[in-house]
This record gives sequence, C-alpha cells and structure tokens, in this order.
Amino acid sequence: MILEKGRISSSQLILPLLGYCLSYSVIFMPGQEAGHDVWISTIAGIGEGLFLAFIYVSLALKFPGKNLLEINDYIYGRYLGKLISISYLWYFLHIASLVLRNYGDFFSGVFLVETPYLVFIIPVMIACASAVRNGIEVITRTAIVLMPITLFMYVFNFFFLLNEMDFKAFEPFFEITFKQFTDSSHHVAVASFGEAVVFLLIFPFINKVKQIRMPTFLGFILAGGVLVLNAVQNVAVLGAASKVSTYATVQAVRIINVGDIFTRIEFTVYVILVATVFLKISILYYGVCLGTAQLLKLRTYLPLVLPYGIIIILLGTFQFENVMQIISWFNETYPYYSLPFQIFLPALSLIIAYIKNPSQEGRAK
Amino acid sequence: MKILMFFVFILIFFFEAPGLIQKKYIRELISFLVLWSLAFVLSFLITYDVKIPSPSEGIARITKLIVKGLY
Repeated sequence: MILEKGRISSSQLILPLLGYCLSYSVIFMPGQEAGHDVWISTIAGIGEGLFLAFIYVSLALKFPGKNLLEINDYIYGRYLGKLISISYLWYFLHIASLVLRNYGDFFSGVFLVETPYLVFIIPVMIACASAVRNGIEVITRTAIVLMPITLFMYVFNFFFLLNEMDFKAFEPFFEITFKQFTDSSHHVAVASFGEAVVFLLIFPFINKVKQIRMPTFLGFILAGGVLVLNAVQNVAVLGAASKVSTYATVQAVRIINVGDIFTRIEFTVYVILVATVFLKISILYYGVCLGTAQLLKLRTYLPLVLPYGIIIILLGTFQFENVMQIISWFNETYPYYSLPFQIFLPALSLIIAYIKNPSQEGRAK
Repeated sequence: MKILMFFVFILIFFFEAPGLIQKKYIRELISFLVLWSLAFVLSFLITYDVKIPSPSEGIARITKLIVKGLY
C-alpha cells in the first residue's frame, strides 16, 4: 500500500528546503555568541551544512526510492533499525514542538504581550494539520507561494536598513577564540541545516530521484546566503547589542524609518516567521505521521494527523517554563543532542552502505 | 475551558473513528485510539496542573553526563 501518492519535481524542492532551513533562525540569529564575527561563523556553518547535505544526498542516491526508515531497516537489521527509526520519529516530534513553542513565545513576548502563547500556537497548528492531511504536494506548493514573499521582505528590510548600518562594527576582525568560533559555527549548522535530515523521508517522492543533488545544494546555499545577510544586517545596525538581544532581527528592523512614512515595519519579520515556521512544522509533522504509519504498516496516515497535532502542542507547552530556559537549552544541550541524529547515524549508514553495496546486490537479484 | 477541551477530543474522535470503522481499517483504528488517548491523558494532566517530567530536561542531564565523561 502506498501511503503517499503525490509526487514533486526536483526543482520544487528548493523552496521548501529554503523555508525549512530558515524558520526560527530568522529571529534567533544562531551563532550569536560569536559577537560581531557572527558572519564568519555563519559562513563556516554553511560549509558544515553543505557537508551534511552531501551525506544526506549520497544516502538518498545510494537507495533510490527508499526513505529513511527503509534505509535504517536495510542497514541496521529489523530490530535495531526499528529502534533507530523510532528515535528519529521522536527527534522530529521534539523539534516540531520546540519550533512551535519558540514561535508562540516570540509572539507573546514581542507582539501581543498580554496574550498567552497558546493563542498563537493553535491556529498555526490547525493550518499545519490541514497541510499535512493534504499531502506533500500541497506543502511544496505553499512553499512556492510563501517563500518568494519571504525573500522579498528580507531584501526589502536589508535595503531600508542600509543607511542605519555602521560597518565599523565589524572591527576588530576575528576577535574570537578558535573554540568560540567552532562552537558558534557548529551551532549555525545544527540549528539551520542539520535538521534537514527529515528530507530523507521526502526524497523518495521526487519524480526524478537522480536529480536531487543540485536543488538540495542550491536550497542550502540560498538559505546560507540569507542567514549571512541577516547576520551582517543585525551586527551592522545593532553593533555590540546584537550579541545580547534575544530577538536581534526584530530589534534591528524596528529602527527602519524612511521619511517618517515607513516606520514600525517589523511586521515583515512576523510575516517571515509565520511563513517559515508553518513550512518547518508541516514538514516535520508530515514526517512524523508518515513515519509512524510506515512503522506500524498502516494503509493511511490520515487518522494519526490530529492526535499527533495535539501531542506536539502539549509537548511544546509543558517542557519549558519560559523563553530563557529554551534559549539556554538550545545553546548548551541542543548542539550535542542533535549530533547522533544529524551527523553520526547518517554518516555511519553511508559508510555501511558503501561496504554492503546495495546496488550490486540489486543487480545480482 | 475544561469542557471545551473534552468537546475538542470528542469532536476529533467522531471526525476520524466512524470512517475507519466503516472501511474496516482495524489497525488504523487501534493506532488512532492509542495516540488519541495519549493526547487525552496528557492534556488532562496538564489542565489539572499535574507536574509532568520534562523530556528536554532529561535529555539535558544525559548529554551533560556524556559530554563531561568524554572531556
């Protein structure tokens, strides 16, 4: 039984990947701890991200038409493979809940201060549930509508902030220690690029699997370019304050004032955030539902969508008490927690795949 | 508020279950019911202010132990 009948073309992959990689990196500015050298560590983070993309793409090309769970089953055997697949599903569920909580906290902390975050979380979750029930084609098409608007708003903000920028803020050049540099660049890589491991569940739905290499790299490079642009903008506008402010991008965009007409246009950041977070949560949520249905050998994943939606909302609610806890968790635990899922297991799978060499086995049969 | 929560859960149940029973998708029905009751119990506990251990905190403790052990 085929769980998903939809197919997407390889060029359609770029925009969902871009939105997925940006999401809350837009407001949090990962690698912030590098201070005014954040743009250098972001560029280094893109390098690490491209290495990760290389691992994921090679894994997908090694097993064309197979998704992450089937690859796990093939490589690690039936039982260990299932265990690893379950831990991956937990990881996706967990990230989805964290992204959702960040989103809610951002709005109740910056935009409508008196309103509880559940008010922001529930509507976006209903939209995501609807997108997931409609399948992968609908999610990619929403990306095609939403992402150009997002990119336009980025460029718009950057140009309107140009006269506020002070490029002396980047001096002295490379003031951080090597450990700080590696820490912050690794942080950039895991927070924005590494989470794209969920795309291993989506690669089999691409009609020409052999052509996924270019779109994946292009999506990563585009996302990296936007992140560097964002980092440069925030440091140049805010100076030293960019290191300590929780939501640096909003602080920077608030300053825009063009002839007293274009003022208070931080709503553009809200629009960007809503669009990208919607994409990120729908893709993760879709991965969780599809993976569970495949693991339990169900004929359809639709009945799992609504219960999983509620579980994601609840997981987001009770795990943390406030924003500061989340941020410290993201800085201290997350870079280590995501290592096995994003780097070790895919790399190990790739090495074992090269030793086992499935393509020759397929030919022998 | 609590009544609203019960209402939402009942609504979800009647949205999904009849179709599954009609098509005789028993496996799907069972997995739906398991997830649905998990969500129900969790939200029940949260609305009645029961303290649930946070998985993220547990993960933080375990990673701290491992990272300290490695360095």
